[in-house]
Amino acid sequence: MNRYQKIAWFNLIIIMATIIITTTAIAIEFHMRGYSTIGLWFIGILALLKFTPFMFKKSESRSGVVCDERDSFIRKRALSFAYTTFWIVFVLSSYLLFMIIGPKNSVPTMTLPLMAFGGALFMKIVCSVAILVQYGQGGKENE
Amino acid sequence: MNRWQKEARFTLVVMGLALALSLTAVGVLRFVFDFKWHSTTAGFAFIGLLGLSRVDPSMFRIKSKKPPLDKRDLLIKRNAMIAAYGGFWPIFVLMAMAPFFVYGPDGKVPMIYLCGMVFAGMFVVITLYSIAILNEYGWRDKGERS
Repeated sequence: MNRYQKIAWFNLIIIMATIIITTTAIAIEFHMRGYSTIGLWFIGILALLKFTPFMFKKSESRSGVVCDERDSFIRKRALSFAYTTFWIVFVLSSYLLFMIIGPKNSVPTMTLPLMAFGGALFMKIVCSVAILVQYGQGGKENE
Repeated sequence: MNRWQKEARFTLVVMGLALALSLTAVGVLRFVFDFKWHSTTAGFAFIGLLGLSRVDPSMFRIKSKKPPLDKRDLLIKRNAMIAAYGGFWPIFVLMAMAPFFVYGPDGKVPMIYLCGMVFAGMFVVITLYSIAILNEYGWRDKGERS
């Protein structure tokens, strides 16, 4: 399994873990207190995503190949696929919101930052999945 | 100049024209005819000219199928797409965060703002994509044909 596959798996695991832990914490808190304030703090787990450059360091040996043309092609394809998918989902969700709420109404200001946050997570997931699909899910010898 | 360069250049021209006509129309409606700001948004109807950027095959006399893309073309198109969306993303985040700071967390954003985000995003993506294509192939004619 090469560096990009490891990073992709790491991203997916962290995002899934955050979703599960946060949802569970909110549900438990809601069940016990009737409202939830602490549960949302578990979103902070996502900060781990920023540590990937330190956790998966590039090979420092002169003979160790970090990435070749194929790797960069795969990464670029995954990135462009993630951006394109995000764009389609963004336009569709905006259109749906427009149709459901109506042109003369308004939405809370929190909706837009949440859209950006959700969009970033969505792109990370799609990009990671696209990388894993292109390389193949499992590790192969000599990678 | 190959097909993709022609397309990109044509898109940029149409974009510039649509934007210039829209802003001029808004200005004329507001300052010459004294329309209210709300009514002057009708001037943005000229953005509809962007539809012209989709009629390129007939304009460039492409007979039936698109010319085949080689590896270099694919790479250029992909790089351009990443550059376009990479440029769009910070603008999208800024547009999403601005109302939060302007109106506060309890404020409301009109739906028209969300539509504006979509159109502004589309505008930014198409413009950056065309610029990136022209930047990678070169802005001038080098005698290529496709």
